[in-house]
Amino acid sequence: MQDFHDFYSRLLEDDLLRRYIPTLMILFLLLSPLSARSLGYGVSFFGQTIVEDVDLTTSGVEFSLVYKPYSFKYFNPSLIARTAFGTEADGAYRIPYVQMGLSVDLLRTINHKFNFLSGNVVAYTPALMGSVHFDPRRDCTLFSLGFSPFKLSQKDFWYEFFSGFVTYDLKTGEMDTWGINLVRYTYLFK
Amino acid sequence: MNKKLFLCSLLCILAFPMSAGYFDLAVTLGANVHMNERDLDPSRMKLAWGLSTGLTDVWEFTVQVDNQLVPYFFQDASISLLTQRTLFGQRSTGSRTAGVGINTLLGMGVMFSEYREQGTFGLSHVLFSVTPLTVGSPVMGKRERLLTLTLAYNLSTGGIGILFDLIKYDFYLVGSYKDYL
Repeated sequence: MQDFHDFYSRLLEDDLLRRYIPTLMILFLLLSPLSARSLGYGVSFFGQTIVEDVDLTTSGVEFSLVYKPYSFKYFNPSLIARTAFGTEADGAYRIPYVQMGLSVDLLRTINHKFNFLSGNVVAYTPALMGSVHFDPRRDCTLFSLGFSPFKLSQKDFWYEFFSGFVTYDLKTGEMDTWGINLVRYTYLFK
Repeated sequence: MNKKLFLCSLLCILAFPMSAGYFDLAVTLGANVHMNERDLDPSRMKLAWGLSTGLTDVWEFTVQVDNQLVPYFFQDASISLLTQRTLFGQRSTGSRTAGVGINTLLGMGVMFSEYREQGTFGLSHVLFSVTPLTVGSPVMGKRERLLTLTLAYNLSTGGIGILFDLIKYDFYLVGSYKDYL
């Protein structure tokens, strides 16, 4: 709980977040068809490491909340909040990150080579995600860029394999963290 | 070099029907974690891949390679050879009739790796494995193996490691319904 309290405190202290993100989120929600099949949750198996401190390498389970108001064929947006829970190299349990950001499905097509993965026809929807990444252990806020090259979508499910993300410290411009989500399952309900 | 030669030889043997009677051949892809031996293997996440072939209707043989992903991307690899038996019926009937769609696997085998006192690649562990849940079958063309737990007795240190595979997918190249149409 202390981690979350610190996280919110940090958010409130940050001028950029205080000014722009709530406004953008309200606009996004107001423009959305709320009755659509649009809310969901996800579970993932993740591993992530910090470039300058390998001892803070973590693996475990990641949980996500998804809001997908539209179903555009190209550049379909979703709001996603994620948090991870796992063990470090010494076996200690930690929350290595909390992320909140915008994911965009670059395209949606059923003409692809991955239909053998599913019993039903699935759409191929590779996605890019940009998000605010907060590391409660180090009390630092970073910018995260994620790519999900093998994302398959059905009406109720997303299946993602070999997704990756990197985080950058916007002050120094240097890469701070990288991570992989080997599998992620997201269930969408109303 | 020896490691690659060994792996290629093994894959070649499995890829061709040198012994009559096998039912099926699958490519495996999934996730692996090696726990309880952090001094030998500091990895936090591995990619599991390999081949699985049916020896009889209830026995199968699996070759699994685990490559470290985090924190050092593809820095090392271990190779596991496992013989496994289904506990709840036929995994495949070798005909257009599918085997049991939900099953449990119990197996044992060995692992070759660098996780030894010497630090060189070689026979390192004896494995005892249980996969509590498999969904699918060779005849269906796909199978998911869930929550595989393997106790690994380290022949070099005498310690016990734990291998945990959250999920693995088997995609059948031979022995699926397409071969029995």
